[in-house]
Order: sequence, then C-alpha cells, then structure tokens
Amino acid sequence: MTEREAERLYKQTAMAEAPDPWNRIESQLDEKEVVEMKTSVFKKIGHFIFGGSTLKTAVSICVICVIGAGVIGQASGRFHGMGKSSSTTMDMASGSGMNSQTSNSYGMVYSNGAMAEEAEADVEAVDEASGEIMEAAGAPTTDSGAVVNGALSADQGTATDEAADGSAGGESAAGIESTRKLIRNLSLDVETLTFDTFLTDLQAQVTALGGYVESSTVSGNSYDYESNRYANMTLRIPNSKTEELLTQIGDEANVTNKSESVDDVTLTYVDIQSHITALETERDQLLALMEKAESVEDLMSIQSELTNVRYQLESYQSQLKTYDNQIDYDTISIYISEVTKTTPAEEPSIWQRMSDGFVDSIKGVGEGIVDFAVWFVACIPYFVVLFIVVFAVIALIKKIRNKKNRKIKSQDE
Amino acid sequence: MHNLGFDRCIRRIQKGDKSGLKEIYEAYHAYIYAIMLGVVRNKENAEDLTADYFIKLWHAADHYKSGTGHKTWMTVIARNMAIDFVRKAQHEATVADVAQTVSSKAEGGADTALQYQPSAESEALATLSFKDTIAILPQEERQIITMKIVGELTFKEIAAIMEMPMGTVTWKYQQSLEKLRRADR
Repeated sequence: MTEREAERLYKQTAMAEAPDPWNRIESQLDEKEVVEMKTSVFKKIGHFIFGGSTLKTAVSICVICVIGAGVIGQASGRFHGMGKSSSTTMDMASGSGMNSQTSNSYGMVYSNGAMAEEAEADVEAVDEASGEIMEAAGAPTTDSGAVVNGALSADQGTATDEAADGSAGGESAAGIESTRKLIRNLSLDVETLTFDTFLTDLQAQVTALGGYVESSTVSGNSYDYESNRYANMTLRIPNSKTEELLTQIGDEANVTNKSESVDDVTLTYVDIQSHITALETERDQLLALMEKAESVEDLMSIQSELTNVRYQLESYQSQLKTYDNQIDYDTISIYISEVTKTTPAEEPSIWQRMSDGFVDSIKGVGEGIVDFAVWFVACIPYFVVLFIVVFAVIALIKKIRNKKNRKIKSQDE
Repeated sequence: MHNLGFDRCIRRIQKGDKSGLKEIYEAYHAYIYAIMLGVVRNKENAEDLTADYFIKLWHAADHYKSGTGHKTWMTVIARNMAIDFVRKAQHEATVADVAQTVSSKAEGGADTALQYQPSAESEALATLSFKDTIAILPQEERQIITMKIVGELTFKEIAAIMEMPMGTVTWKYQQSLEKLRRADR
C-alpha cells in the first residue's frame, strides 16, 4: 500500500466510523435570546473600533472627535449669527415707523437715566465749554420768561394739555420753541459697514456743529464673533443743528431705529424764573433795608436773611442754567453697530431672498472653511493630548481584554 | 470549509440559527469524532464528547474571533475537551477502558513507542487489519495523523496544537503512516 493509499483509506475509515449524533445535539440546543443578537451587533461595532491596530483606531477616533467638534463649533457659530440677524429684524420691526413718540424703549430709558445722573456733574463743565452760549441764553431767558409767563396766565390749561401729549415732532417742537421750554432726547440705532470711519466722521461733525460728545463707549471685536464691534455714544447738539446731524448720520449709516422724546419743562422753568424774580426783589429790598438799619441787631438780622435769599437765588439760577443747557442742547443717544451687511429697508422679494440666501450660504461655507482651518491649526496642541489619551485608553482596554482572554483560555485548558 | 464560510456559519449561530451549526457539524463531525476517539480510545465516550463539543460550540460561538484559522480553533477545543475527560476519568477511575488508556499514556510516549519496536512491528502489523492498526496507534501519532489527513491541517498548525517541535510532528506522522501502509487492508 502506498502512502497516498494509506492516507485515503485512513480518511475513509475515519469518516465511515463517525456516528451521527445530530438529533441528540439538536435536542439539547437551547434557544438563543434576542439580546444575544443585539450583543453581537455591539460586539461587531466593538470589534470594528477596537479590533484593528491601536494606532489606526486612535487616529480614527481622534479624527471623528476633531471633525465633530469642528462641525458643532461651526454650527453654533452659524446659530449665533442667525440669532443676531433676527434681533436686527426685531429692531427694524419696532422702528419701522421711525416713531417720534415718547417711547419707553431701552435707549430712551438709558438716555434719561444718564441725563439725570450726569446733568449736575456736567453743568460746570458745560459752563466752561460753552460760557458764551450760556451767557447768551441767560439774556433771552428773562424775555422769554416774561412772554411765557403772560401766555401761561392766559391759557395755562391748554399749555398743559399740549405738554401732556408728549408727541410733538421735531418740526412742531421747533415751532413752539420760542414759547415753550422743551428738552428733546433722541435715540438712534444705526448700522455701519465702516465702523472706524463712521465714528471719526461723527465726532468731527458733532464738533463742527458746535456740539460735544458727552460719553462714548466702544466694545466688541471678540474672537467668537464675526464683526461685532459696537459703540454707545451720547451726543449733545445745539437744537438748531440736530436735524442737520441726523441727516448726515442717515447719509453715512443705515438707521434701523429712531425714537424721540420731548419733555416740556415750561411750567417748572417759569416757576423757577418767578422764584428768581421774587428773590431778586426780596434781595433788593433787603439791601435797601440794610442801608437804613440803625442798630447792629437789625443789621445782623437783615444780613442773615440776605444770605438765605442769596443762597436760594443761586440755587434757582443753577437749576435754570441746567435747564437752559438741556433745552439748548438736544441729547442724542446713538447705538452704532458694525455689520458686514446692512439690513434692507424694504421687504425683499422671494427671488431676492433666495439669491441673497444662496450668496450668504456660499460666503458662509467659505468663511466656515477658513475658520475651521484656523481653529484646527490653533488647536493642534489639544489634539496631540487627545490622541495620546485615546491611544493610551485603547491600549489599556486591549491589554485588559487580552489578559481576560488568556485567563479564560487557561481555565478552558 | 473555508474560513469565510465558517465565519458566516458562526454569525448565524450567534443569531440563534441552528442551520449554521448543522452546516459546521456536517463538515466536521467526523473529524471531531476522530480527534476525540484518538484521545479517549472509546467509541461511546468519543460520541458523547462529540455531541458535547457541538453543544459547546453553539454557546462558544460568541467567543470566536474571525480570521484566526477556524480549524486550529476547533481542534484545540476538541482536544482540550478530550484531555479533560481523560483526566477526570483517570481521577475517578470509573471507566475501565479510559483508565487503561490513561495508564498507557502515563507511561509516556517513549514507552508507548516501545510497543512498536521496529523489529516486532513488521511482524505484528502484517497480521493486523487496517482498523486494528489505527486502534493500536499511539495517542499522539493518532492525533497527528487525524489532524493531517482528516483535518487537513499543516504541520506547523499541528505542531502549535500539540506543543511540540515541527520535526517531531513530521517524524511521528511518517512513522504512523508507515504503520498504516504495512497493515492489511
């Protein structure tokens, strides 16, 4: 018998001798639970993730993490941008009528509050800055006060009603300015593409018109935002020049909101003037009495009263100067925001919206790629740390698993 | 059966499909039985172990790692089961023929080989049938020749399973084949 024949015969014998216990086996096979099927799916995933080489797996997980983080970051940036645009739209909606009513918008509250807090502190500074104007204002005050006084005595009720309306526009306010003492506050929200240029030009215009910048705050320019610098400015402009300035602002920037409030202080103003007149009369009388005083006691008493009258007189005059300043100089609170695209004044057509949206998307994708590249390069040190951690974790898991397998194997043996 | 076909069957078993086990059974039950018989030297015990083996395979399918060579994996399990059985039988001393087999194994491969001294071998084998020759083959030789001829494993794989040098494996294989070749058909 050859070796080949012996091999063939051995195989035939082994195959022929083998019994067939399948029925016995089948009867003892219990049903596998569905859970095991699910487990096997997870095992497949686990094998897919951890079955390959540690290096490849670590790189894969890091790449997934990096892409995921980038996409989420980009998406959140997009959402932030969307939130911003909706906010602008709301501003537009609220300011669509370019209302000139006495509104209680945020800007107005801020403006009034700032005025109340800063008025007294600024009076002296204003006096120094515009001494001549104050002197000039002082003279007509007496005249206008007399006129107003007469007018009030004739028809005080009507004047009060008109003042209570509080909705006097710029034109109507100008018309009755000679008889009424009106403090005019304006609030503007504007968008500009050229933030720095606009600020410089605005300050130059204010100075040229004889006004001044009462306060100015420039903020923003954060890394997380695209172009979000903004400025809050409080301007004081001679009331005759206000419309001119508004026109210039409208030419250079996109005004999204404008509100105006007019505070009629005629009654208070006239009242103060009356007090001043009365006190001046009293002062003159006291001076005349002082000249006629014969005893020291009388002289001291008159002197004391005279001091009191002078103190009250100066106090009222100070209030009057403050009012004069507020009346002669309109207060404009302006919120300037830097934008990459100004909000359209009219509702765009569907086609326009589609084309704008498409162009915005293309632009967004381009900016997103650039931002992602910058972010990726900047975060490389973090990725290195991430890779080391992931690599170590996978290596540890594999080591534990292999140890467990060896233990099971040794137990089987 | 190729590795891919075996992997598919294992996946079916993992899903609870008995046809996967049936397919493996049909392909390998004779081989597994031969391995078991080569160790325990008793047909009834070998049949029981073969049945237990496939039941164990049904449960152990989840632990199978694809791409490792399924024949080696199956052979290692079968051999370990048979050796465990022999050890238990030896310890309990309840089955006489197993005890005999184990005692002959305990004497060592060299002693076993002494039973087949070349001088006496030719004389004895000439009078034995092929089946009888298989039956009296030493345990290691019978395992090796079963793995090689029925299981179609390579000498390298067999050496790894038997935990012995490949030269020893080939030598034992040639020796056992020579014995079979001289046996009477």
